Amino acid sequence: MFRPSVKKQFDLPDDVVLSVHGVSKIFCRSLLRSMAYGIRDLTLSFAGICPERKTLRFNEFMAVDNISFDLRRGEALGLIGPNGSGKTTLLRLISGIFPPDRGRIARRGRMVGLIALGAGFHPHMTGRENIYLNGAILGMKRHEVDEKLQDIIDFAEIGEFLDAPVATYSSGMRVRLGFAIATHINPDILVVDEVLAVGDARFQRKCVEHLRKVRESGAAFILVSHNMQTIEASCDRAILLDKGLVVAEGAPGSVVAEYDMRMRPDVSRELSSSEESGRNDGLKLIKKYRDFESGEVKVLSVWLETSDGVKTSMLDDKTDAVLKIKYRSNNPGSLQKGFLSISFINEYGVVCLGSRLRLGEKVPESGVITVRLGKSQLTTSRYSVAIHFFDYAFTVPFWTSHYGYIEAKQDVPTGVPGENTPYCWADWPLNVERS
Amino acid sequence: MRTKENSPQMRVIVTEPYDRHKLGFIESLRMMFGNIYEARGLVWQLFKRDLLAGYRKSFLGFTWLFIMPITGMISWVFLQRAGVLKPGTVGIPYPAYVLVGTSMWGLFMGFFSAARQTLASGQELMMQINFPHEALLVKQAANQLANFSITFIVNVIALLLFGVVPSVWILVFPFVALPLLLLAAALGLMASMISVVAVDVGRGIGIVMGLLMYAVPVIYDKDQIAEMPALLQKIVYWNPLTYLVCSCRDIIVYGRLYEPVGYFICAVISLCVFLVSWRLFFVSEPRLIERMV
Repeated sequence: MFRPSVKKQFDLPDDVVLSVHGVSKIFCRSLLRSMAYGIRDLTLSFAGICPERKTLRFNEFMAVDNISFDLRRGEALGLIGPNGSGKTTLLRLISGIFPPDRGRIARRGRMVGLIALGAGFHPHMTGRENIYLNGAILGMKRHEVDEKLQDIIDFAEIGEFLDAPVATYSSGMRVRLGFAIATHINPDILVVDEVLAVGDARFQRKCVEHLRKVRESGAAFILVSHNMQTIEASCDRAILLDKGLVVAEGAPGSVVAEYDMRMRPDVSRELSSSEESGRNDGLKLIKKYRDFESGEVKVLSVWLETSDGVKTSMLDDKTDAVLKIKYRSNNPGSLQKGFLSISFINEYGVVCLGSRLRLGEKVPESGVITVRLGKSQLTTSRYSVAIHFFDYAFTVPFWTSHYGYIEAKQDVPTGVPGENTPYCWADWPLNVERS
Repeated sequence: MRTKENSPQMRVIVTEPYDRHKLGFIESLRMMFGNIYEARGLVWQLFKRDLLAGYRKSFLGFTWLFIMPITGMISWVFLQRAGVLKPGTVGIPYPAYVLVGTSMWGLFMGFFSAARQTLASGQELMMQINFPHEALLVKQAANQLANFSITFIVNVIALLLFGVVPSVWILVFPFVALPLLLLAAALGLMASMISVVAVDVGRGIGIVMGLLMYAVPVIYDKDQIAEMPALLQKIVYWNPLTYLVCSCRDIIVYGRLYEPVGYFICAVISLCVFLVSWRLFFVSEPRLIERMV
C-alpha cells in the first residue's frame, strides 16, 4: 500500500517556479451526493484503494480539466475566462489548498495569493499584533516580520492606528494592511486576483507601482482579471479558460482577442461572415446624430484598408492601415475651411486615439478622404470610429456619426496600462481624391 | 532579496492525487512533527489570538478563567447541602471528590470538543491559504491545556480549603492524564472528520458524548455502583473512560490509580486509537477541505 516516499527530488528546471502538468479537478453539484462520495472515497482510500479517477459519477463535473503550463521566474501569466471557467479552482490547486484529482503540481519557493487579504485577522487585536499573526499564517518567521515591520507600517499608512484594534479600522485600512503584509514577504510566486480594485485611487497607484518592484526583483506573477487592458499591459503570456479547459494560450494580445470573440458571439459572427464572403461595403454605421446634419457634408461610407488596398476590419501593430471616408458636399466652400475629426473609442466609451485634421482648399464636392493611420497604436480590443466634420471655428458640427467595429490587435507585450493607448492626437496625413 | 537558494523555502513541493497515502506511517509522523516545528511561530500566534482576543473586550478579562471552575465548585457544595447529591464514603469531603472528578471529565470533554472543532475552526483560513494544518491541532490542544491548568490550580486550592492535602503523586499527573488526552483527541479528530462528510453523525456524536459523563463514576463512588442496575454497572465497567478519568482523579486525591490493570489496558487502547485516528486525519484532511464548502 505504501510506496517508500514522495519526498524524492523532483526534477524541476532551475528557472521554473511552478509546473502544472495534466491537472484535473472534479467537483460535485449536489451537496448530499458530494458528502456520500466523500465518505466512500475516504473509506476506500483508507483501506488502501486510491482509484485513479477516470470517469465522472452522477452530478460530477470537471472544474479544471487537464491543464498544463510552466511558470518561470520573473514571468507574468494572465489567467482569463468567463465566470465559472475554473480560474479560482485552478488557483486553489496551485496554492495547495486542495489536491488535484489527476496530474501533478510542482512548485518552488514561497507563494502568496492576494486573494484573501488579511486572512485570519482578529478584530480585537491591534494592527501590530495582526501583522505578526498574518505574517505567521503566510509562513514568515518572527524575525522576518521584525525586519519588515517598518516597511509594512509605512506602506499601509496606518500611522497612529498601529496599536488600535483592527475592528476600529476602516475597510480600506484593513485591506491596505493586508496588501502590505502579503507583498512585503518576498514572494517567489504572487497570485493577484482582481484585488487592485480596492483602496482609493492613490493607494491603487501605489500598489501597482509596488507590484512592479516586486516583479522586477524576480517574482513570478499569476494575474487573474476581467480587465483585458491590465492583462495585456502586464502579462508576458496568457491562458484563456472556459469550462475548465484551456481554449487559448499564448501572447496576451491574441488570447485577449479570442476571449473577446467568445464574450460577444454576435460580433464574431458579424465579422467572420463579412470576411468569409470577401465583400465589405465598409464599416457599419452605429450611431448618427441627425441634429448635426446641416447638409454641408454627408458621409456615404467609411472603411479601413491595408496599405495594399485590401479592405479590413482589423488593425494591428505590424501593418500600415488607411481609413477612407467617402462623402458628398452641398457647400464645399465652407467645408474647405472646416475640420475633420477622427477618434477611436473603446468599449467603455473612452476616446483612446484621435486626430483633428484641417481639410484644406482642394476638397471637392464629392470624393474620398484618405487618412493614413500607419501602424496601430491601439491595444487589443474592440473600437468604434467616430467621424465628425466641423466648421472653421470648430464649433458647429456638420456631421457626427460612429462606425464600427474595428478589432485592434497588439502582439508585443506592453508596459503599464495606459502607456500604450494615451489619449492623444495623432498627426495623420490626409489626402482627398475627387470621385 | 529573494529567498535563498537551497533554503527550506526553495525546496520543490510536489502535489499529486493521494500523495499522502504513499507516505509511510513513521514518515508521516516525522513530516507532521517537522511541520509543527516549522510552524511553531504560527502555533504561538494562533494560540495567542484565540486565548487573548476572547477576553480583550471584557473588563474582567482573564478573571473569567477562574470564575468558571469556582462556580463549578460552589454548585457541588450547594447540591450536597441541599441533599440532592448523595454522598458516599470516599475518605474526603464529598464535594471535593466530585469537583476533582468532574474537572477531569471536563478535561476530557474539553479536549474532545477542541479536537472536534479543529477543521471547523480553521475552515475559513484553510479555504484561503495553504499553511501547515497541524498548527491548528496543536493550537486547539494548547488552548485546552491552558484552560485546564487554571481549573487544576482552582482544584488544588479547593482541596486545600476542604482540608485535603494532595499526595506527592500529583507530580506524575501529566503522565497519568496523557492516555485520557490521547483518547479525547482521537475521538475528537474522528468526529471532526465525520462532521465534514456526515453532518448528522457529527451532531449525534456530540450528544452521545455529553451523556457519557453519567457512565463514568465521577459524581458517584465505587460503593454506589454496586447498588445500580446490572446494565448500568456493565456500562461503567466496560467504559474505558471510567479507568482513565478516575485514575486522573485518584492520583491527585489518593495518590494511586483507579484499577491499575484496567487503566493500563485502556492506556494502550487509547494510544492505538490515537495513532489510527492521527493517520486517518493525516491522509483524509486534504480531501476533506474540498468538501468543506
